[in-house]
Amino acid sequence: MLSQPSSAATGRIRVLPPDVADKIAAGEVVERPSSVVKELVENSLDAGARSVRVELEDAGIGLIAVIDDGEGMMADDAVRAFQRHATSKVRSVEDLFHITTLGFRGEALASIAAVSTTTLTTRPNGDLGGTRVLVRGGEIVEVRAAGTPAGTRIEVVDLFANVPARRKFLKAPATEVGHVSELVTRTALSFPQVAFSLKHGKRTLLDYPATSDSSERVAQVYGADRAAGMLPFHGRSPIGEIRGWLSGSHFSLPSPRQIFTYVNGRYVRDKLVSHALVAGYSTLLMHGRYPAAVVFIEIEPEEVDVNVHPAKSEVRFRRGGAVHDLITRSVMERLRAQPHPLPSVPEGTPLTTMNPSVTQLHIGLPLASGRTPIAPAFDSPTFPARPGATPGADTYVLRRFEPGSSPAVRPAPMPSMSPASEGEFSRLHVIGQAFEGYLVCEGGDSLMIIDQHAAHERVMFERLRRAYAAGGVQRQRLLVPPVVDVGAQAAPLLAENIADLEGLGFELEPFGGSSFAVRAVPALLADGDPEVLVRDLAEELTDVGRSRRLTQAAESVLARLACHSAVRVGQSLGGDQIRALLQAMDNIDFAGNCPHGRPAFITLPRSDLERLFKRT
Amino acid sequence: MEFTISREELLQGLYLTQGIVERRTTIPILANVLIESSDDGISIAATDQEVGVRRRCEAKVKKKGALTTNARKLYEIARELPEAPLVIRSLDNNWIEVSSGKSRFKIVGLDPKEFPAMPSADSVHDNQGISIPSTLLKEMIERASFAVSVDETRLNLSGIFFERPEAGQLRLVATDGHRLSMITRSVEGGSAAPGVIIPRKGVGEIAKILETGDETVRVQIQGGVAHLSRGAVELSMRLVEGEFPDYKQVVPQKSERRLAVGVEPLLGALRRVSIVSSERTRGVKMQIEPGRLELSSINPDLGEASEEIAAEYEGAAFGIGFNAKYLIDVLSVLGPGMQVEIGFNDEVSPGVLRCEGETDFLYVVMPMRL
Ligand SMILES: Nc1ncnc2c1ncn2[C@@H]1O[C@H](COP(=O)(O)OP(=O)(O)O)[C@@H](O)[C@H]1O
Repeated sequence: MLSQPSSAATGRIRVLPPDVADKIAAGEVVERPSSVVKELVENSLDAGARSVRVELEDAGIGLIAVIDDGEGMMADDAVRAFQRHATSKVRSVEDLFHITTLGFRGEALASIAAVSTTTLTTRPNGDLGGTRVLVRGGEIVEVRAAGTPAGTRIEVVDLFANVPARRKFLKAPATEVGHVSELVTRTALSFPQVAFSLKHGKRTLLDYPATSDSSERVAQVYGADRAAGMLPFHGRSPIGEIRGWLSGSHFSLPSPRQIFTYVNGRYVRDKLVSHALVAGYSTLLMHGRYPAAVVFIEIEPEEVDVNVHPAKSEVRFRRGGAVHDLITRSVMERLRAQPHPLPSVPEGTPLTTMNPSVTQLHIGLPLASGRTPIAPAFDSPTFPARPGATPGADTYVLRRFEPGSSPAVRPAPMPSMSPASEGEFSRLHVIGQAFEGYLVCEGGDSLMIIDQHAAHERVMFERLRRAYAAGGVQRQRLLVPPVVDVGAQAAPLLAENIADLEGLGFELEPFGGSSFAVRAVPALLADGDPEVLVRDLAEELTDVGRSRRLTQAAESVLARLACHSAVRVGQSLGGDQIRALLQAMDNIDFAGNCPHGRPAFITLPRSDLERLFKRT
Repeated sequence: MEFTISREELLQGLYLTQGIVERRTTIPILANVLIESSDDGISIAATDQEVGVRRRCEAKVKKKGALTTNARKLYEIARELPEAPLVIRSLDNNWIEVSSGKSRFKIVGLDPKEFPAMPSADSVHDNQGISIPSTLLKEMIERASFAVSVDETRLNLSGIFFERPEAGQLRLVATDGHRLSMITRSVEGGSAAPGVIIPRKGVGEIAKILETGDETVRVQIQGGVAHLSRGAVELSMRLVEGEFPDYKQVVPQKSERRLAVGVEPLLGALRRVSIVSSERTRGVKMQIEPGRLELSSINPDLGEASEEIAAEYEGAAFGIGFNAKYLIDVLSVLGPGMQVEIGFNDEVSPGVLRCEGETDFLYVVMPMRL
């Protein structure tokens, strides 16, 4: 909140001297209703409000009202607040580097008032009388005393009435309301002690009572069920601290919309931050899938420049690498400690052919009205699909495969060993190979369809990863070491890491220029062409190795190598090969996804099958 | 065309074509055999355009000509028919009739003019070729073929290198980049000639025509094609284009440590110990001490195994790792009663295996870092 001691004297708000004003990123603040709400809500929070109510009419075109119980303004300040670069929050250039308040440029109210009719009604807590200021198109029309509760109420009507071009760019009302709702939610997540509500017309869209417990706020936002599956996490490094909640590896979404990240309390939507977060999930997420997460990063204000973009969602870190490391490492550690990763398909993965509406289309029968929804996809921890969380909510979700669920038939596990013959996969009855890419099996009360490439890739990857973790991948020496030119970009990366590369199974020897003699390759992959392996290695290192140390790039490298050595779709497999693959699947800690995050298998419970055939 | 042929003779001819006709070809005629009349009988041929086989068969030709039909179906029919002469004749529109006793088949065929030519030399140059007893060539192929690379993409390693290092000698070399097998034998005729790479599939077909008997095989290399003939059978195949690695460079000049051990005990111990090693890499450690060799493997998923066998060795104790498969492969093709000598320098340098009393076979295997 305010860093300066609050003073009852008039004149707290000053017009910034031009040198300060110029330092501040220029740009139009007011783009759409949600940007108005954002500025107003931030002002309320800066004013120490314990309750912030947002009300919209007509998706914000008719009315945007933000009502707070903050410190309010005295009459002079209420008028000055509408001047450009009028702020009580920054006084000098020096202050810009110590920003702890949300709004600071002193132009929000002025900009909003310029494109609307704005009424500000405010009363400081101790004062008896309040003030009302009416501004139309930027001109102060009226200032008068008014009775009002302590705090500030700002009403914006006729938004963009004088800027038809802007109005034309507004999206459908539902979209604009969605933006506002997202804004309120993300703000509420970082201010649990403040009550938030959002109304559109008569409907209350959000209502988050104040709470002292931030996990309570997470529960308000995500719903208790989903929040129960969120893993709280925490991490610390010299650069700062990170804490928050992460969805487990069994959950993913097609968009990053459920990721909320904050730096020093300020919501940011930053590439580095989200990249680091997703990188922490490593291979648990497939390309293009995202977790749900609430992440708070606290670092020294000097370490971050928030003054990058007027929309203030982006930040610039002075030491991006260190921040990236902190995030990735903390997420990784938490997920590693996650209890029992379940083999499963990501929630919300629709199996198109199982979509009842599709089936209905084909056979032209009305959908059985009493259709019971498929049981929750996961036992625990679980997020029931939120209506609207996935496009087309009417999709089935495949259930987790539980071949050994009957305790009577499951042999007691041997300590620290997994005898291949007793495993879940090798006990499956193989029905056959479909499309030269999928193994169709029956086990327990389910059909299981295994993507042979994804499964084999996962097997190879786990073997490599395990060997790597155990101190080194076995290396097969080569009779005639081929000389491979990896290109100028990759060569220094390889050269720097020659010693560490041995742990990955490679023995390379600089051979002049950007060439290396390949003396040994990972024994697991020794059947492949060593030149291709080294090229893959080089490429992967250039892709991921720039910002990270080799130890962190190792996973990606191993994933890449595993992918290339795995059987392909289109390769017909013999019975022995299928058996070997299933047995190998038993021998690994099967997290269900191939290293690229695609599921390796899906299960179709008999009950679902029967439902598709309308037998139940 | 019309001819009468004994069931046995037809089966013989068709048998050799079965491995060559493409199982999943997009060109239908490649799944067929071509049957042509000759002066004293017929010939049965098949090709996948890389490898081609032709066998002359005794038959009574009533009407000369040619026909082509599905190789597998014809083979199955002949196999299921009772022992009796078969009459095969071509009908209109390339249909073929096969009859034997009271059985009669009418099967589709294709126009024999469409049948692709056998692989043949694209240039003719004088090449005397060599002659070699079947059993000898068979043994040489057996000792080399297991080392051929299984990686289809590495063309130059995907076959056996046939070379004539000097007049009267034939050498076969194969490698997958991790181990190399090399065998040299005396043959009749031929001058020194640079090596060629015979493709894996071709090697398989050669082994097939050598299965029985001890007739002499004639081998001729000409213009990118290897041509072999033995008795009534002719085999031709396109050579692999590519440069075979300079194998001489990988053979160590000398070995500082030498271990002598019997094939049978070593093979048995390797088979047992590698049961628990990782199914893919099959890493096995050899600990060599004076008078003994200890083999061991550890697999975090399964457990561990070790076995000690008697061996002749003098020198400092020494440990080295290998892919057990690479040793099992070679020991399996050597006589069980044989004694082998394995030479080492250090744990990163190749091991060299030779058979006692044989100078013309050697096997180089790269160690594995466990
Ligand atoms: N809801 C509010 N409660 C109390 N003071 C407010 C409120 N909204 C705005 N103000 C005052 O008006 C000033 C100008 O606001 P604004 O134009 O939004 O700029 P900024 O928030 O960037 O300083 C603020 O610095 C603050 O002192």
